[in-house]
Amino acid sequence: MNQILVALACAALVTLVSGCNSKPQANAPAGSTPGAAGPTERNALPPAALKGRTLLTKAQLDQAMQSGTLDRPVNSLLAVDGPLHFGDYVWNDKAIPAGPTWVRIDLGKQIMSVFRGPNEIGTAVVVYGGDNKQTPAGKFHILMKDRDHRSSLYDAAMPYTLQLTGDGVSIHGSTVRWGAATHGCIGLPLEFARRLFEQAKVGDEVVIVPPSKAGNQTA
Amino acid sequence: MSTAPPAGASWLANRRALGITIAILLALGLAAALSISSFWRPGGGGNGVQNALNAGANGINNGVASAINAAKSVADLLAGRSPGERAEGTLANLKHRRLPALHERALPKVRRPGVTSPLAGIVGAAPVPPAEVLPPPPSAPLYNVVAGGPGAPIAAPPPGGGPVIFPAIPPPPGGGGGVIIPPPVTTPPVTPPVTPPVVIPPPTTGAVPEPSTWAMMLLGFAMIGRALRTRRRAMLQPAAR
Repeated sequence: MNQILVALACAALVTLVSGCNSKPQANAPAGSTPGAAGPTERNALPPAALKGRTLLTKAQLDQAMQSGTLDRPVNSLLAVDGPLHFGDYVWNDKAIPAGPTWVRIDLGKQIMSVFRGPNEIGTAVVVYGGDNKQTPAGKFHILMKDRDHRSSLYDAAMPYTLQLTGDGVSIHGSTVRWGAATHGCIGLPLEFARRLFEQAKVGDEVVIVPPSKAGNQTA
Repeated sequence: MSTAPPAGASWLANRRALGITIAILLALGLAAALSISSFWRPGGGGNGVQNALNAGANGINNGVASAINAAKSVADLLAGRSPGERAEGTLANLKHRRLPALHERALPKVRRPGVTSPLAGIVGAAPVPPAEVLPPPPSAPLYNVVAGGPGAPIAAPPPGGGPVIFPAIPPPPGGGGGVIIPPPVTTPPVTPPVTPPVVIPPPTTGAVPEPSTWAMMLLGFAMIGRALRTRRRAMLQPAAR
């Protein structure tokens, strides 16, 4: 019994001392989880990039690929503590190596994930098309970028527009609030839309997961 | 009968007690550090201590969170950050549809050539209008006019010395003058000549509009454009000054 207590105390002390050597991340919420990955995945990112990030294990990745949640290998996700509120976002690309940018939008969960290569660098709550103007699902490529676009159809401002389809479905900054919907576009918080606009370029891939499929994935 | 414990056992018991004491002290110190870090307010002194305590708490939380996240699937990790699915029927339009322009409402119905109406079999072909027959021009006179001349015989009075039918006015000298004789009863009726029916074609419009049509169309476009500009300018102006 005494040895157990001593071991617990020593473990707590070691953890306390090891935590003193690291600095908390500015943009990321508390809760870095670098301990669940294999050695190969851990070496893929520099130590400075591990804070506020969850490295996926091989089992997690395999399960996600088989279930269709992910269509390509992903190394790490942002560690988010609990549900985001409407208008919230997390952006953390610190020390993430360069790579192709791609976006995953889960309409059912109203969540967007921005990836740089196999690592997630941003996530936000989005609004999408209503029942009479549904957002199309599938894989798209960014056709056009316009910082100060204005809708010719609805005469509305579309800041930081990333156009996806020829008929005008785009990703742009919008008012993200509960119960809101768009005419088919993807609405983002304005600051998150600005960051995504600076990160993405024409030709980058955007994957939009329909609500029904997203619901099956979580089951 | 009691036996006194050996000296080695006493030393071991003291060492165990010392270990227990150290463990308890460490646990109490750790708990105090966690409680202080949770209630620590930034802005005061001792940031280094605060950072150290926060880092220590983060380290412990990281270990717990990594174990939890490793047990979750990727779908669960992504769903954990979701605010929830949108409820049915919740729809608030962020943008208002632009009002249709005037010319959009004035567009005629588009009919594709070669497409027959579904009512064609019921209604049948369009009736051909009957040909209009014009009355023939008067080609025969109603009365026979006999031109009189010199020496024209005058109807002789009936024999027997009957009364003179004609007026007793002597004829002008030299004769002459026409006399209207009523037509004989035995004259056959006049029949109009048979002429082919004349079909009047419907009025057709030329392929090229007349200058007046052009002028009216241009005037209409100008009025529509002026109305649009006026309305847009009125909408852009602030409602209250």
